[in-house]
Amino acid sequence: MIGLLKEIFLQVVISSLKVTFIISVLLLLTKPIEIRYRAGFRYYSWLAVMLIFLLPLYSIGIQYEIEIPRFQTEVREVWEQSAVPEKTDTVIQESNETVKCETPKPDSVFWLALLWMVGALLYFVIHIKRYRHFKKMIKRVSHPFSDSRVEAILAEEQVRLNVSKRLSVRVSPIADTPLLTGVFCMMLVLPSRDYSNDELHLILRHELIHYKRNDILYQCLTLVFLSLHWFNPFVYLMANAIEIDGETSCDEKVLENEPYETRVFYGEMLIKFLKTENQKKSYLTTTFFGGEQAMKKRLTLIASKKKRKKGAAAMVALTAMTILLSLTAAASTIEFVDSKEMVKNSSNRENTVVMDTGEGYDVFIGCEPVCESKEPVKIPLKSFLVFIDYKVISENEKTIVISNGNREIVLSTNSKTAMIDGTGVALTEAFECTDAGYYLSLEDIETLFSYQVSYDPEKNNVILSVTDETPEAVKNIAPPTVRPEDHIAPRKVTVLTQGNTPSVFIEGMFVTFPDAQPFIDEEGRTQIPIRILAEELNCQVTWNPHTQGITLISTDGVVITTKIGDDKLFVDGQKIQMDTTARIIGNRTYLPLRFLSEALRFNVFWET
Amino acid sequence: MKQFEKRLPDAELEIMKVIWHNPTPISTSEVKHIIDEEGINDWTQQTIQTLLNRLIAKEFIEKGKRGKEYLYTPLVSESDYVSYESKVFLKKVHGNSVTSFIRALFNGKNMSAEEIEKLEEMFREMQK
Repeated sequence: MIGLLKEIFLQVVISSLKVTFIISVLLLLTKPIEIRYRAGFRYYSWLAVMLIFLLPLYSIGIQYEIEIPRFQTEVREVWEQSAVPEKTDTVIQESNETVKCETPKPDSVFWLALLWMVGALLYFVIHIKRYRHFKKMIKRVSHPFSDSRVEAILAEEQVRLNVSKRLSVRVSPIADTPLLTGVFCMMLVLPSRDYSNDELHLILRHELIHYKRNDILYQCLTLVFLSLHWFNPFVYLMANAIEIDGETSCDEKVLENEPYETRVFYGEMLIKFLKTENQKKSYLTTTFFGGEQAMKKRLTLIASKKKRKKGAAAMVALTAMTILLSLTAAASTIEFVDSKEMVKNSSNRENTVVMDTGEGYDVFIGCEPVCESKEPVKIPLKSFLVFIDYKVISENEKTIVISNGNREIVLSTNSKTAMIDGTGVALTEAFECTDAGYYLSLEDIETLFSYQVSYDPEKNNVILSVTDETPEAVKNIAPPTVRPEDHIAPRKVTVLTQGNTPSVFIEGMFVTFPDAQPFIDEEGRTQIPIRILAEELNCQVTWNPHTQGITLISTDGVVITTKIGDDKLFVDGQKIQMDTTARIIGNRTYLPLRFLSEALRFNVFWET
Repeated sequence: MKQFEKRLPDAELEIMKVIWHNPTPISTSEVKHIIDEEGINDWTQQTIQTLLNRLIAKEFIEKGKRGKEYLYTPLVSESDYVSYESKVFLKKVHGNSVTSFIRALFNGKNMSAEEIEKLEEMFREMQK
């Protein structure tokens, strides 16, 4: 319901913008149009514009309803796929999140949409109420009227205009102008005064033309349009123009095929009425547009001798242009709905990650990017994988291996190195595993997968675009090297223990430890200052003081991670259980040589 | 001129309209006859009598006697009364008429005598 409301609201806003454009064009062209074409052209051009813009709204509303079920199942599927079978607690947690994203939270767009709807309803209801009140009032201040002379003239004009329905005529002592009113039951009200036959002919004809043209119905449509676009000042300008054009075009019809003297007579009659009725309305305070503007236009037209074109061709052109504009509006809206707006909508409900696959957008709701305090933005790995056709091959608490069939990527938690097909790639952020699952920073997504990532902090939207070229970072990676364990000649490390101080030899060369020295711990394991040894073995060592994590990358690309105080080593994500722990003594980090050798696949010979 | 403190209820106004638009003095049965003819309200003699009595109390009409019948004469003219309501009415006629479902012959709202004069001059000028 909230989604539908927002959807409709956005449609209205879009069509309001388009309408504003058309209204501006038509208002700017007022002068040339008035010179060339009849007033009827202008009057009906507004009608065409309104009708055309009331239509697409409806069709898109339908389309949206079809959209919903498909969209939701998609979301479910995503979650089902991303859920890991053996981790039942995660499944429960994730399915809870799915429920959450189906009942979206209200946001600013929603409140605006609500404001719009309340405004539109109020505008409409208030005007209908006012009208009903007016109709009651007009009955009070007028009375049925039967005058054979008026009846005869009315009948004559009805025949002339081919109007068969009988109108009820009333007379009111306080009305200052003849008027026609009534949505369902038309009523003609005349001010009580003396009219000449000629005057009556013209007055009745004028009102009958309003009646015949269904001008009141036109007003109803205008009210609907105004209610929908109540926030758009241009629409009020249009309403004002409709009012004036309605009268000028009616005058035009009244005077059709009449001699010029009648035109003069008609204009003088209007002025006479204005003068005599002027006293009645000294009370009226300022209104937005005075009647003068309208009267001036009407009198100008009445006095004009110029023949004007109906402008049928121009009307066709205008209609076509408007339809085209409204269709492009509709088309772009559909696109909007399918892609960005849908994304925006869904992202407004729940923060989302959006993928631009080039053919359209894929949205995954529930795959909520995390933006902790400021930088960096991270997105949940598993939900993301589903969309890029990667599968989880294996995973444990610390390591996850994913593959799309061609590439295999190994990620270890708290490690700043990822393995792509056995080659180490540096990550900007350590791979993170929280209670909610694995997270990868956007930059690292860019590095590992060929996507361009942009982040919209306002909406908390992540947009991933497919790029043809592989990101630089991936290019620079050396081609995957085959690393069959047997082919690598094991390096020989000899440990010579004398008393409690072991000496370390690599391929027979004595390793000098400048400060911290190796020792044998309480478990009987030889602990080696890792940095010195690693350098001797041409391994890279990184130390993360925050996580107390050590990462070792061997020349073969084997990634070894552990933590101070931890009794586990992770080798390319594979756990090696140790019977002792990594530790810090002085400023040096120590690792047990025995397990290091297993991880780095060298042989250790112990000698005493 | 009488000051009107409150507008008349619809029913009482209906009776007043009958009195205003027909020869007076007028009897109760004549009023009923006219109302029946209009066919809008289905009032009994008693209802009409009650309404007339209220109008007498409000000093809108006065009661006289001719033979057995009571006859009523208006004390307030229609134009005096309706002008009381005219302000609101005209405001509605000349308000935002696009959405009030009214098609007036002309809309002279907020026009001064000079402005009308000017229009007249312009109109005359244009005929040449």
